[in-house]
Amino acid sequence: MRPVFLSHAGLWCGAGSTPAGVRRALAAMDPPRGRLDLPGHPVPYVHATDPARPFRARLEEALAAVGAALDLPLASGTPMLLGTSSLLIGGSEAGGTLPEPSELLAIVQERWGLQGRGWIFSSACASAVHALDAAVGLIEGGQAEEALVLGVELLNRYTPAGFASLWLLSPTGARPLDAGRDGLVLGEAVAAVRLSARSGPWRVHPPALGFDATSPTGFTPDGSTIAAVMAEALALAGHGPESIRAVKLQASGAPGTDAAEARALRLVFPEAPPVFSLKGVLGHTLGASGIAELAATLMCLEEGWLPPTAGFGTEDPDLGLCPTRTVQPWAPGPVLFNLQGFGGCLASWIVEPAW
Amino acid sequence: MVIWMPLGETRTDLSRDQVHAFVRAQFGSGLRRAGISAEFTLATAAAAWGGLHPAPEAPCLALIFTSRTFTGTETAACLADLRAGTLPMPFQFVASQPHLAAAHALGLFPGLDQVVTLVGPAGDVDALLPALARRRAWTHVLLGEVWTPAPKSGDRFLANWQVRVRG
Repeated sequence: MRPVFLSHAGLWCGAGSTPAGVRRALAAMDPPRGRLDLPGHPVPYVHATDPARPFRARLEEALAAVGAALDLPLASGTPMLLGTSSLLIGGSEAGGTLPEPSELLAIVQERWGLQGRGWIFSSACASAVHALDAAVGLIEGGQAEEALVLGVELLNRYTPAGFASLWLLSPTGARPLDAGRDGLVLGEAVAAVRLSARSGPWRVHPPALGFDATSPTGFTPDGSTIAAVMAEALALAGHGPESIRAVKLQASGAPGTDAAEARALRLVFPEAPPVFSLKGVLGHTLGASGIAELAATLMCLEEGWLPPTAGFGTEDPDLGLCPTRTVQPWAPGPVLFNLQGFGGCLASWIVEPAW
Repeated sequence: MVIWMPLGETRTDLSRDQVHAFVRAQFGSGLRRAGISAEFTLATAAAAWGGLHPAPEAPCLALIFTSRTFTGTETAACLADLRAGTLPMPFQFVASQPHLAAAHALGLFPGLDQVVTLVGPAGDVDALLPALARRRAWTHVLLGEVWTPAPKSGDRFLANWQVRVRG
């Protein structure tokens, strides 16, 4: 199968709408700057723009910012694969302006001058990673020379209210892996990566996808299912654990899931490489998070550093895992990305420099 | 390129009142903590899969389903709660997430390897199937479209499932 390369990444989120802005926020560990007043549950939320702006205006703003980073135009027949978990709900909530899937694809394609096929994946937090997997497959199999993968998660009240009803949200802030972690902080993001069969700065290996149906919101506590997916990602990339130079964790601040992921790391890595979480700054961007966190990480790696883990302060003795606390130098090499999603979706994949 | 040959097609059109009996006929009971959309999706998929004779031995199965309306009934109920100034009921919200059907599917379909959920018509998946199936040992794919013509009322529930076998 052909190798797949990533040439450009764009991100619009609470950390910024340009690579320089995102890097600055991650390095400075800017905390979430917004709140949502849900019924009986005022919670932090990472807004990317003025929440009072209409849904369509926010989408257009995001597409303009992300498109600027993608070195458009692409070949007009380039396929587009989009992951989202709540875009349609958000449109519905906004007063009957529900965009049909074909409408949403048409909006993006029109803005970016594309006329190829488009698909929308809705697999909860794994939505954008399922889109990434399919896009890698299209290129590996010779069905496409290039592909565009998007993650779209725009502010709506519906999703945070649902998470609040399940008592999954932190009332104070995201503290990934911290001893005092008490839940998620959600955020909005639109992100895209441009994949190609032609050589580019980053090699993207196929994601390993898995499944853990222990509960709708949690995973096998011993980490074994997460570890199995991480091990498969290593095998798909042809790397041993000793080759991995960093791990971008899911670590969202959820007590049980962070613990399961920490145990999985111990099962896979005899000696853990540097690990970090981005959710203390970006928030958990749900269906967009796979691509949003990939894009944010690459923006840091391009400048040779790993981001600190905002919100982490006190090591949890049960986890025995200490993520980055400050900006750390990155020794160029493979980076493992982890994602665990609502409903039992698991994913891990490896990106490495192609230079 | 691998060819995925259709083995059969199963169409279902039920009223809301008929769904629970259909689900019980497939699984012996309702699915705990699943909404009506997930129950309908999985029961119709199980009916399509169970209709295969002879049953495949040791299958490696992917469940791929699409919808243009998805969990409209559950979503409408959650939005009504929000408009009334309260949080949605927890499992109403869980049931409104289309992919949450996957969490139930694992115990219902022996050999299930992967669940993929897409928004749109089922025909869109054909061009994507080789990409989704590469590197995977799937022997069979259950490919379906489920929808409610009027998602807010949820009066009728329709499904169209195909069983495909690796050629």
